[in-house]
Amino acid sequence: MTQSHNKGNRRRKTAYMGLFLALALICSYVEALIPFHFGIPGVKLGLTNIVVIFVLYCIGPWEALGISVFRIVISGFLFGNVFSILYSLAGGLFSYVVMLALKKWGKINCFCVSIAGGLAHNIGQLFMAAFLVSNLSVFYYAPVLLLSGAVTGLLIGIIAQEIVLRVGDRIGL
Amino acid sequence: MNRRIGKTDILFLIIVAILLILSTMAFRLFHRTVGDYILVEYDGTVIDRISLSQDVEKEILLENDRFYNIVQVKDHRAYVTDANCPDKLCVHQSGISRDGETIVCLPHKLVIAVYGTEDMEYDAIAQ
Repeated sequence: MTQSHNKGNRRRKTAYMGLFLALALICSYVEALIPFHFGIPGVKLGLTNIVVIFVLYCIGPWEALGISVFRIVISGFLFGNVFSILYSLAGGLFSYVVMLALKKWGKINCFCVSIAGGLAHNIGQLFMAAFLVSNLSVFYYAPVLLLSGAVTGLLIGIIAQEIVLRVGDRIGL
Repeated sequence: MNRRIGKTDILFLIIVAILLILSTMAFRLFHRTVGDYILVEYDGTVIDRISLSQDVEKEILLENDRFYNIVQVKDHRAYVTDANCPDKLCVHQSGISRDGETIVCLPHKLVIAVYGTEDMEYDAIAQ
């Protein structure tokens, strides 16, 4: 009985992971479609973070990491290039680590975790950019990128938190 | 803890806001002046120096002419008007004129940065 239950659960999980990865890729696609140029590169909405936060809160940390990494690599091949993959990986991984740590800490709500994630994402990208061009002058835009990371993190976080609160318990994993 | 917003959340928001204000203030303090010239840096080394005082257009060729970025100086501002990089982020970036401002072309490892110390405040430029 328990064995068949576990098997069913695993199948459910596999299906869910495929679904969430597809959803994350659609978010990437939508972002690639919007000509979102604010004069400086790196200012982005970060729609996919809704999916990553949802998976982090409702399924688990390893699953969220998987979605994040696979999303970046696949969308990099589909809509970007090697540089955008490196760039996004630096941001995505740092943001993931910070969000996971803050979630484990457990003292702040989901939307604040998302703000920290947005900030960390842009900090990670800045360091990767500085490393790639061997030049520290990219940090000139740090204040603007931090501000945009905080604002988009807040917007994305509010959406993600509402989704987690409203449908999070229906995942059943 | 409240389901949506708690005391720690508000404290967190205040801390983030203070940090953002501090970083913006530091930024304003250090970069108030208009620059005199731009340095074109490839992979960490300077390959060209262009004055901002006269309008020019210059093609920057890299990696045995495989890569190009066209730098334009117009009205004391530098732009990248065209490039054959895959993302074209450098072309979409707005013009630079203040000391420390940069245009980065990540795929080409190219950084164009403004230098120099002409003492002019933000407001003087706006006028």
